[in-house]
Amino acid sequence: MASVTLSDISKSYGKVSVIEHLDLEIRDKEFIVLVGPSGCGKSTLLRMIAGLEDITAGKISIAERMVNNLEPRDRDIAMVFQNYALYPHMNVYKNISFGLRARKMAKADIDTHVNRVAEILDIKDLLNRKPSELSGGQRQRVAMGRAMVRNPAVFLFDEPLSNLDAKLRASMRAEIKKLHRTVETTMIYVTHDQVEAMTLADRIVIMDQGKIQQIGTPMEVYQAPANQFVAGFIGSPEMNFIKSRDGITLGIRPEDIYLAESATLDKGKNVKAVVEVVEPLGAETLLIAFYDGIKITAKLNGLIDIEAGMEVKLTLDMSRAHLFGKDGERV
Amino acid sequence: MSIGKKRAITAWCFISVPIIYFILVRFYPTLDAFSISLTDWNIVGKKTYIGFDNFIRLWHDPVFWQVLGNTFEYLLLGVPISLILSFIIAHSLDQVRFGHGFLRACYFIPFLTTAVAMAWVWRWFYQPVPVGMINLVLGQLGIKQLDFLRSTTEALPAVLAPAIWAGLGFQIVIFMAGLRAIPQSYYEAAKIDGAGAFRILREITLPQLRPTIVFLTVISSIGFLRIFDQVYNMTQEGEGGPLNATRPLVLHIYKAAFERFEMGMAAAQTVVLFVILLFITIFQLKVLKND
Ligand SMILES: Nc1ncnc2c1ncn2[C@@H]1O[C@H](COP(=O)(O)OP(=O)(O)OP(=O)(O)O)[C@@H](O)[C@H]1O
Ligand SMILES: [Mg+2]
Repeated sequence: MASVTLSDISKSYGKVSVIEHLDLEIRDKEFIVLVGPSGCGKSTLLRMIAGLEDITAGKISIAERMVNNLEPRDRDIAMVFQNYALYPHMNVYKNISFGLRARKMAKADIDTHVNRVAEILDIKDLLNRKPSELSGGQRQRVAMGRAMVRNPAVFLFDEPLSNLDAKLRASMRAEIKKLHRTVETTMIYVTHDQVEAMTLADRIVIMDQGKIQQIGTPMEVYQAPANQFVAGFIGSPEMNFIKSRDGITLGIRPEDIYLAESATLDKGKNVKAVVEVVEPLGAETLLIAFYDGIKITAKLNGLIDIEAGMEVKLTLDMSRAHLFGKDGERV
Repeated sequence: MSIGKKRAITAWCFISVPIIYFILVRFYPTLDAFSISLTDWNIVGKKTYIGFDNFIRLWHDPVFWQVLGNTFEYLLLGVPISLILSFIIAHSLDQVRFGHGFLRACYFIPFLTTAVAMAWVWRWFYQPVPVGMINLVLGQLGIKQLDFLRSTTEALPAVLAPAIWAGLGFQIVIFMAGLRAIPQSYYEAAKIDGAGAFRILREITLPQLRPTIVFLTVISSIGFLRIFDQVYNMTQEGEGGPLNATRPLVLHIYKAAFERFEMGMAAAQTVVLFVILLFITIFQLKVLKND
């Protein structure tokens, strides 16, 4: 049970500045997801919280205690690595119990704890296997078990699902969510997959180039992106941006565009566009069209009888449009 | 001809060179030694078959047993000391950034230096005062002077020291490569899990280095069992003295073959050495490789 506070954190490697003056307040029991493009400093931030990386300037507190100079083991945290970092020469039981043995816990207690975790994660039958004898998903569970078994105050995840296939990823996502409800512990989760971010997070932290672009609930960042970067980063397919002459950019999500003939909107704006590509996805159809030389992606309901090269009339739902100023900030 | 066949032929062309080399220069003499060991032969005269007489003579020869004992002393002291030393140095070097390359070179240079030159420098170190550096330092510290190469008990360790030192550079480089190959994330996970330095060493580093340790144990065991250069160059007249106190098996073989020209006897000892090497290597591979 712990809040995590980062105040005015900076990090540089030699002359290269990776994170600059970052402030972040993570509440107790919160599920925070850090997202951002590759190289924006997510892992670096997480590793600084873990104590694996020195901070260049600023202050990190966990549970109201300043931890700047504490070793990782004294911070009461656990971390799940992207490559799991399971010890290959130890079996699953030894892997999970490693932290408890390091803390000199009694054998019987270790046994209880390992079995409890193995039960929750459904890996009881695997305890005697070596990591090399496990599937990717099983390894992932063991890595989580190793983190859970110590009942840490804060869980750190660095892209824990990125090595799994799409289907397994979806089911593990649900399990992590469930795990968070069960253990009621602060979790900080790094990913560059926005679906993971949207589905898991209580609050999302969107980062770019070492700076926080926006912090908010999934709905907040989706419905009211603070700037053009966030607007473009969250949502798939990406938001359409239409530049006007006065420097203002209009942003409209593909799902807020309809075929004019079937739309009945109060604040609709009609445009004529030439269809370039049609991508039927089953439940919906993606339409990529050009209007005035601007590419527009529309996500339309159902299967639609339109072919490339045709001219269509589209309606943009202006009540859901976003406006961004010259500097990219929301207006 | 299929691509597979062409490739196989090319591969065999390359492999055949070392194979022919090994057959002519290694396997054939080894097998020949077996047959010579059953004869009495003075290198120029006629070989006379005498059965196992050479081996029986060896069995009853106290000097042979002393030499065998010396050889094992080199092995049992040399392997653990050199491995522990080189591991400690490699492990420390792995942690430092500053002057890393320079330090590594310092340790590697002895490996590249000729044994003869090195042996003579060490011989000089071991002299009594005022020539010998070591005794000079000992004297200044108020410690009793040592006889080193002139003592029957101190001579063997005194010869062993430069032998260990000479091989250290190689072992350090191999250890460092092994250490580098251990993913950093294991250490990070262990640190977060709360493991101290000693536990990390015992439960992560050493098990991960197992293949490296097996390799170095086997290689250095063979090296110490065949120790020769240092003894030959550091002892009076290359005798392995005083009173055979430092004489190893290979030197004993050399003396039999090229001073007394008892080729049958020398071959018999070679066979003994071969069998010892074979068994120790197999034993080490079996024991150390098992999980
Ligand atoms: N040891 C280092 N030395 C120098 N620069 C580094 C070091 N580690 C990271 N960086 C730089 O810091 C920046 C942030 O790296 P980081 O690993 O935090 O990115 P990330 O957001 O986790 O990206 P990804 O999604 O690809 O994992 C990158 O530009 C990277 O090149
Ligand atoms: Mg990363």
